[in-house]
Amino acid sequence: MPVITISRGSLSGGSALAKALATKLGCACIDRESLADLAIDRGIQVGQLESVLVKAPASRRKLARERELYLATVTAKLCELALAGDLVYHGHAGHLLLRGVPHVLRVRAVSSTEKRIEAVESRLRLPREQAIEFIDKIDRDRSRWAEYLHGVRWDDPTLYDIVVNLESMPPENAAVALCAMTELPDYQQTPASRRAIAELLLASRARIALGQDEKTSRADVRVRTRGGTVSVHCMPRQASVIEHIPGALAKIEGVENIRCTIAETNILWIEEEFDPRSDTFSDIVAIAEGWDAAVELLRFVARDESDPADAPASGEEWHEGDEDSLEAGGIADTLAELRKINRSGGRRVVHGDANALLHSIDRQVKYSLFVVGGVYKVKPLGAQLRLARELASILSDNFATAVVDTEGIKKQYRAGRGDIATALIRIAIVAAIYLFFFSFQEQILAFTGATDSKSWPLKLLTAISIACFIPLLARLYGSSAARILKMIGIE
Amino acid sequence: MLGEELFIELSLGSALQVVMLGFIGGMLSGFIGSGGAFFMTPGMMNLGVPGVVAVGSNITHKFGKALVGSKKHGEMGNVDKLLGMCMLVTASAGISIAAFLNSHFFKSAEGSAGGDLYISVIFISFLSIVSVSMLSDVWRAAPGEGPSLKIAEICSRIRLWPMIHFKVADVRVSLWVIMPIGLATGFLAGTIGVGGFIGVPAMIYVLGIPTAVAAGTELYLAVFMGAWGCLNYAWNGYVDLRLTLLLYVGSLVGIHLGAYGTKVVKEVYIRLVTGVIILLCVVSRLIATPEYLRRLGYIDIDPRHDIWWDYTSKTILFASGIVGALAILWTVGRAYVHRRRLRASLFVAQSGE
Repeated sequence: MPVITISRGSLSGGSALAKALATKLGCACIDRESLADLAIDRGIQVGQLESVLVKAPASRRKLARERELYLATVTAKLCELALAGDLVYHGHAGHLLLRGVPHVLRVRAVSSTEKRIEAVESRLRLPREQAIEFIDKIDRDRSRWAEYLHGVRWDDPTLYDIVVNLESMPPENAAVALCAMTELPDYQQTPASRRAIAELLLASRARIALGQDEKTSRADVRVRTRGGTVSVHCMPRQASVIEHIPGALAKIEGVENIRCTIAETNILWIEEEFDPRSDTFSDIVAIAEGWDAAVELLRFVARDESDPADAPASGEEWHEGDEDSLEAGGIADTLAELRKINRSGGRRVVHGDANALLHSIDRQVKYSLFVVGGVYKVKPLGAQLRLARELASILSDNFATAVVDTEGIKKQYRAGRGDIATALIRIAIVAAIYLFFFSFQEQILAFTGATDSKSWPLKLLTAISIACFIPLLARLYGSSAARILKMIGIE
Repeated sequence: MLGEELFIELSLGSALQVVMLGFIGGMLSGFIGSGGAFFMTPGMMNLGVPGVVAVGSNITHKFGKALVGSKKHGEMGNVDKLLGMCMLVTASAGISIAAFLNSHFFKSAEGSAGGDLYISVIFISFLSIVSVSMLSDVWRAAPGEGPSLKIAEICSRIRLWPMIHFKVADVRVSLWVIMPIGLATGFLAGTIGVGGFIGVPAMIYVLGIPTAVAAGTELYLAVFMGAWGCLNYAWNGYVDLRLTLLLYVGSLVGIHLGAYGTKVVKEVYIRLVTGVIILLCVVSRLIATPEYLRRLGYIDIDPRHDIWWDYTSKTILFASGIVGALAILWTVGRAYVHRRRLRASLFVAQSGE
């Protein structure tokens, strides 16, 4: 029972491919336009969402809740169809709606620009220049749409299992090839993949319910599910909606527990083996308490390139939701500890390389810190350290978020005895500067004050002295004050 | 006064008042994400500091403070350096114009009345518009609604060469739209020390960039504007380093408390508190103005009443700052208790697992 998503450009032949494939498989075929119509019927302003792509980015942020509801509505519909049987979807980035579902066959249909131009010229009766402009505009809009909805580049080939060039192959033949591909075990539904779809469906229904309930509709919440447990994350300033969440979710079938986390932001902790008794755990929890953050656990199991037995299943760079992986590596115990203190931001497991890790991180989530712990455990210690450093550097290049290793947390974010001593020494130096200033204020003011008799070199010296002195003092005093306030929990 | 009638005698009492100005200004600055100069500059003027020295000392204070704050924003990816640099070109010109005019008006009359009146007029004219806009925004805004972006949408249609794409802010804007914003930001930063009040809203409303990036970029810009302003005012000898140092004592602590408050307080409340405090600062400055007009010979009122104008102005300013600071602390405390209560109820909800 395969689920196939086809990402297509305008007039690239993707629609014809989807229809041919659905006919061959004898299954339902649904396109983006039908899902958009469904969302419109449910009162979501899809037109407004589409129009913000040509407006200022801030307009897009204004429609963030509308966007969430749109995503939840179309995801719920896709999940319902996927659970009912085979499904072919064609649109912009359907596989990203089914993120985390392992057996989805992700196809990208492309065609040469020349062929697309010819198609536009004949179908829309446009001159060549206008046809080129039309295709450019459509591609640009679709790229923005995928980036706006999913935070990814639509044309990134690593997002797909296969890219089909329809320039010289008719859609019917491509459909035959893809039909054969769906016979592979990788694209067969398993109990785990059905469970992943069911969880996604439950999360989408929960998000829709929260969006429709008038007491919770204005809150910016993020919903995840695991089994029958629905986890809702909300911002501290909207904490008052939490008491209405159980009521809003009461009528949804399958909800067994509701777990709420109030968090301003997220800390992503990447590690291969988690330990809730480790110093790193204590450090991260202390930072999370100070920042009002939820801690998300990402178990990264790097693939050993030298070991063929360790290669992933074909076409699958990463996966999450695998039952054994989600319990192994101390992740379950660590998550349980985080739940006790209401700092849980969820968990995920990624097998693969750094690229797989990058794709697994949701760009729509507000992260304030990435902590890279012990990874690449199969490698010798020296290589582990180097690869962890490289991973940190890749993350830093791809996200506007601070990245630290476990030692960096202690140095940059936690106050030790050494820091207290440093802060006190700095405060003493600042006190000495102040004492000096106020003891010799007349002389200092005579030096800095305006006098018409001052020569320009002296004026220049005065200005430069002040401009050099002030930042040093501010840094000296500011960092010490911040450190001391951090020690008493004000950060 | 010391140093050719520029610098006031500092008693313990007046020094503590400057520390308090710094603390409240810092707290407001952390709370609203923009400078607290709208409180500190008139506060120092109420203590008898000539306006030009109050502005010079404050811009020097902001230089160091921005240097500390922009590093943090930079780490969080909230700084668009290219945008900051584009704005800096005209902002520097704005500061130089402002420093020249402040200096000119200061020297134009006996004592500091000319400069004080000029600064007060700019202060009242600009900040009354800011406070009324903020309060009407609070009045009109639906719960949870962000700022209006109509202007940003209109400006995004101006496609005059050169168009620049700012990656962090994620906007593509004509340099011609950015230049006047930089000039106005620099001019107001140089005149009354509140460049952020025009820079941040302009970036949000006119350029349509995210609030966090606007605040981070303004702080980054403030480092260079502060440095340039500091050099300009220090060159003319208008920086009282004692005041700058005393402001730091309070502001670098207050800013953390204010920033902590933004985590738990709704945006509409932040706008309400800020709008009311700015309005009261404007009223305070308005009350101080007749004394300057009398000293310049524009009106004829009894000089013995000067002390009452001064006391009333100072009382309104300090009362607004203290009440505002207490309101912030009270709201933060109440939100903290509310969240503790919610957390307790969440544990009960989970116990059925």
